[in-house]
Formats: sequence, structure tokens, C-alpha cells
Amino acid sequence: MRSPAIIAAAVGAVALAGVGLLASRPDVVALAVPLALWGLVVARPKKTGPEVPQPAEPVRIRALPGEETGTLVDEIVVDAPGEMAELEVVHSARRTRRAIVPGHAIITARTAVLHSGPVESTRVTGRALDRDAAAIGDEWASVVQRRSVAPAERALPQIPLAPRLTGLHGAHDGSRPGQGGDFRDIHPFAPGDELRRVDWRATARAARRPGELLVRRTNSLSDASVVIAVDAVDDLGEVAATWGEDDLERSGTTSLDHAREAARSLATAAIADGDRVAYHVLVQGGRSVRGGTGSRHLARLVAAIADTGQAGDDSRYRRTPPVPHGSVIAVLSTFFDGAAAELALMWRASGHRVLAVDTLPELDRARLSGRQALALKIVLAERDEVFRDLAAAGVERVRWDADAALSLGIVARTPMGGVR
Amino acid sequence: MSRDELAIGPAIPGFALRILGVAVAAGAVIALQPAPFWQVAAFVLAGAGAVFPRTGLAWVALMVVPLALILDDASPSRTAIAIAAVHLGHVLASLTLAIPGRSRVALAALAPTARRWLGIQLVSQAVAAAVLLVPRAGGSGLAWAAPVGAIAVALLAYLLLRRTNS
Repeated sequence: MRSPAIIAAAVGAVALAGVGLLASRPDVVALAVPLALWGLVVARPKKTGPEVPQPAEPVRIRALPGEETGTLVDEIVVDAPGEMAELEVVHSARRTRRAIVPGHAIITARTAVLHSGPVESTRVTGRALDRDAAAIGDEWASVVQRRSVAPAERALPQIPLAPRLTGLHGAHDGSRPGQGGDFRDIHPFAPGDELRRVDWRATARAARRPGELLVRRTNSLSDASVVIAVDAVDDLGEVAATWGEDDLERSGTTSLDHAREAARSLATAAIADGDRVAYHVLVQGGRSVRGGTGSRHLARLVAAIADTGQAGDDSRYRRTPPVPHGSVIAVLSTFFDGAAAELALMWRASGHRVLAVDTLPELDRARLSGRQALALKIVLAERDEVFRDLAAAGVERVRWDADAALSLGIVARTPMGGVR
Repeated sequence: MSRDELAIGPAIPGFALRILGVAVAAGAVIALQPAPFWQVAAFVLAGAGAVFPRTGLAWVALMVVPLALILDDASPSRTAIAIAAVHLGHVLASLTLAIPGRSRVALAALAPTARRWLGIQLVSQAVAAAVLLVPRAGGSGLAWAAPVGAIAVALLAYLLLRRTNS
């Protein structure tokens, strides 16, 4: 697109030259020279053709490793068909900056991390400006750099144990005889017992017949199955006045921040105990990670957790995620929506140990109008009702706050209905 | 304070170009036109043009410069100032049409503009000096220059029209 400046230069040059000639003033004619030259220079046709390479993409974004914690660093590579490029850079979908940079430039965008989870760290659009902005290019399609920010991890010394232990490996004492666990009993030798298990002292003392051997048996080591289910329908900040506004800059810590932190902390603690951990996002088409153990599985889980973002309102899960028998299931939700509570009740009725992890942050009620304060009071009362139903069914509640590790420890030491 | 940053190197705010445009127009008029009315008019027009670039008032403000030249005798220094001011004012007006006031402009992005301005200025100032410093012939010695000039203006108009429409 041509700028009106070219017309202004052409009209100005001709007018000044004409007036100078009519008035016999060479100085006024000379005044037309720079405008005429400028007009001829900037309006000259641009070289095109196969010999002139055209940039494939005017702008690209490369993610760089963060130089400091809490900052996402992206490199924006500009290769515009013009002397200058006008860029519109949106940091993390919240702050827009405009910049005029050279047509071929590499600039750096640093975006502060306010929340964990998936984030559009940088979105760039722009247009080329050429020849003193007398030629203006078309607007480019937006280029977006998406990143997943892993949540912080909290040390959980003790987490609740699954009601039913499985397998012959793990860190928990199993209920079956095997190897690696604590002393179980002294038992008459049977085919299949290892000779090194024979307790000669007990045999000498307690054998009733000649030739009878007694073996020392131990418990097997078993692993537990932990399922982490995150309800990603709501993402509510601690500032209640920002609910429904999608203003993640003023919202403070959100419920999904808490959910991701809780999920990662639980997964890390369970994997450290040798348990199998599965992960499900309770939305339609939500991501699921099948049960597994080990550090590589933990890395997969952390990646899935970091990639868990808010789902739309109409994306309630259609199918209940499959869970192994006798699991401990942590349902991470704000429990405003009844779906997570229904699921928790159903799993509890199936004999699983279910933890309702309340991820709603400590609320800041400032700047709420009278109506909003009343509405908040009503929905919180409904939520309390949900928690009462859950408690009556045997679902244990843990609030994810500063004392979450302590609360989980207390729950872990409390016997539950479905003891093994 | 925000920790979001966009590192583009040494830069100036976009509105600095507009302020510079007003300063160029006002400075040229103050230097060339002693009448307070024209000074105030040029300043107001340049200011309005800076606030609303799409109105084209920045160019209207620059029209006071040739007016100041016509109203006084020709002098090489005044012509040199006028040529520099009109050219710079025009380039700044062209830039402010496309560059938002709230943007940041990397100085490196303005380098081609500065080079182009310098090149055109060198040619223009040389032409102006040649035109003004050649001794004027008395009587009808240079009468042939008028039709030649008219043809040159017509040729210029044709060339500019062709380039603009191509």
C-alpha cells in the first residue's frame, strides 16, 4: 500500500517548482528538489523476480531457555520484506507492545511467569514498512509461541496409601508372603521354599518330627496405585472480583495453579515411594497418562501436568477414566461444579480410597459489590454442602494450602473405610 | 512494575518523531519568518498534525516555509535551512503516518531513512547553491530559462505521476 506521503511530495514538488518559476525565485524552485528526489526514490518500482530472494516467513519465534527463574525468554527473528517492520508483541496474552525494528533483526521478548500451565508466551504480528514508511505492507498472520510451565513442587513426606496393594515390587509391605518385607512367620518347609530360608534354630527348637524343617517367611513388597484426576473446568483466582474475567494478571494464584502443584507434588511423592501413578484430566478429550512408575514416568507426568490448562465450559468429561482396583484416587477440583464430586462419590462407592483435594485458593473478597458478595456466599455454601456429602460417603478432604503436607500426613495416618 | 520486556536495542518512543516534526516546523518558521502570526499558525498546524497525523496538517504547516522565502529576498543560508527543514519535516510526517505514537522505534530501524535523507540533502543543497551562487544575468540574458524550467516542471510532474501510479 502506498502512503499519501508520496502524493504530498509529488504535489509539493510540482507546486513549489511552478510557483518558483512564476515568481522568478530560484530559491523556491530549489526547495522542490528534495521533495522531487524523495518522491522519485521512494516511488521507484521494487525489484522482483527469481533473482531477488523473498523471505518465506517474515517473523519466527524461537524459545530460549530461561535465563532466570520465573521468566520465559523468546527470540523473535524478523525477516521482513522492507527496511522496517512494525511489530505488535503480546506477552502472555496480557500485555501488548508495539515496536518498530529493522527489517532484518533479532529481538528478545521476556515474559514474566505468573502462572504454571500452558501459556502463549509470545504472540507476534506485524507488517513491513519500506522507504520512510511510504510503502506499507499487508498485516502478517500471527505467530505464536506456546510453552508449558511446570508447576512448583512441594515435598510431601507422607501420602495416603491405597487400600489394596498389588505386585511383588514396591516400597510397601504387602499382605502376601514374599521377599524384601518384614518378618511374617515361621512356617513348615514346603516345596518351592528356598533352602537358605530354613531357620535352623527354630527347627531345632520347634520341629515335631525328625526331618521336619521350618522356614522363616517374610512379607512381599508391593506397590500401590495412585490416580490423580484434575478437574480443569474452572480456573478461579484468589481475587474473587476477577472471576469470569479471564484476567490472569490480577487474579493472583488460581485454582489450576494449585491443582497442578498438588498433582506434581503427589506424583513425585508417590513415584518416590515406588507406587504406580496414573493421571487424568477430567474434561472431554482430556489428557490421560496410564499408570507407571520410575523417573521417566514422572517426567511424562510432569509434562502432562504442565500442559493442563483450563477447558471450556461445555467440555465436561463423557467417559469416566479407568482406574485400577483398590487405588487411592486424588480428585483435584474446586468442587463448584458437581461433576467432580459425583465422580469422587462413584469411585468411593467402588471401594477406592478417594481424596477430595480442594484447590480453591484462599479468597480475597475485596472489591466485590454487595450482590457479588452475596452470590459468593451462596456458592460457597453450596460447596460446603458438597463437601458434607463427600465426607458422609467416606471421601477424605484435603485443602491445598500452606499446610497441605501436614493435612495429607494426618489423612495418611487415619484408617479409612476400605482398609486392606 | 511489569517484568515483561521487549529488548529491541537503543530506541526512542514513537511520539518523539512527532515532537521532532513539530520542532522542525516551528524552528524553520522561527528562523525564516519573523511575523508572529505565521509562527503561531505554523506551530498550531504542526502540533495538530502531530496529534492527528492522518489529517496531513504537518504538510500544511510546512507550507509556511516557502511562503517565508517568497516574502523575503533570496539568500543561500535561508534557502539551505528551508531545504533541510522541508525535507526533514516531510520525512517525519511520512513516518508518523505509519508509526504509532505509543510504539518504540529502534534507532537501527531509522538508519536507512537517515542515509536517504543525507543523500538527498547533499544533492539538493548542491543544486540550490549552484542556482543561487551563479551570478544573475541582467536584461534578457537568461530569458530562455523560463520555458526550459516550465518544460522541466512538466517533465517532473509526468515522472512523479507515473511513479506514483506504477
